[in-house]
Amino acid sequence: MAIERVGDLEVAQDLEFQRRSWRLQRIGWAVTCFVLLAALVGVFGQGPVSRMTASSEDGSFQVTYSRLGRHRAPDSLEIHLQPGTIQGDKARVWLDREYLQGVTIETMFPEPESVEAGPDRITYVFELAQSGKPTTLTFELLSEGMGWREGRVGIENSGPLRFSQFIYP
Amino acid sequence: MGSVVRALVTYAFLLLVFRISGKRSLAEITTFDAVLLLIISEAIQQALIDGDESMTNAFLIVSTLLALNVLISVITTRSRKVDKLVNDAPLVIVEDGQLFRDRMTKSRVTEDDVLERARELQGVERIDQIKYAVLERSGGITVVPK
Repeated sequence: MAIERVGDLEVAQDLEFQRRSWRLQRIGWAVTCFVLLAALVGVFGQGPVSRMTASSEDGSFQVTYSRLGRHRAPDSLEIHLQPGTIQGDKARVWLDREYLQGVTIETMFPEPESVEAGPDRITYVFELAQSGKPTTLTFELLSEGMGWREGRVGIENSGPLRFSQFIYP
Repeated sequence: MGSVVRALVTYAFLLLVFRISGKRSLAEITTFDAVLLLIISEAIQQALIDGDESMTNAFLIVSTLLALNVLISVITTRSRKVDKLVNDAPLVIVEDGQLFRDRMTKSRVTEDDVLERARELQGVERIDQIKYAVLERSGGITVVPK
């Protein structure tokens, strides 16, 4: 294939290609700006758009979770107990096993008094200082894998509350 | 499987990002560019390794990246179309002492850049002593004096 000539110079210049690539570059920059703005508001997790709070049907507890998360990124699941939800001094909170298989629990705040393994759910038992008062249980966790997933949370006779997440790779 | 896929996706992403940012982006490496390159490699490393610190993973990733590089160079030597897409094409920015201003603006090259390279390479004093200046695919400028 012959090399193009520009005057005396043998150079594989292609002005049409150059113009097209400049145009594509401009488009690329615009897309990048858009992606970065989306990231700032949390479209890729860890921002205002990604956090969600859902309430159980009877309003006895709420769950704050990330509907958009990232693979192996720190995340948290907060369970807010409303006053009068728990009778007695122990809160029994369960999470479904399938959800727990997709996450690694780093820490729990407060620490549960005991953990009970069931066939399809794991129950955490927390001791409460005052049974009538609202309180929050926090699970600090890492999501593993990617894609859509669903979790279920329940408290004693209330729930389950379903929530869904999308995990970016 | 994961290692190969991760390396593949990372390679494609980096190729795309560096093509979008243009050939002048990291052509002549200043101190700051060197720091930037280090940070980029640091940032991409986590995604590439994904917590698997085994030698097998490292070897698979390196093999995948090199295989892709060889594959692309084989394709680019056979097809000039792909070559242009991946490596860009040279662009004449000075002809007979005349600057192509619009091409220079779009490629982010200044008159000073051209003069600097002309002094460095050919001991040229003025733009009108330049017959041709070409912005090469690497992002560097080459100069042919009159």
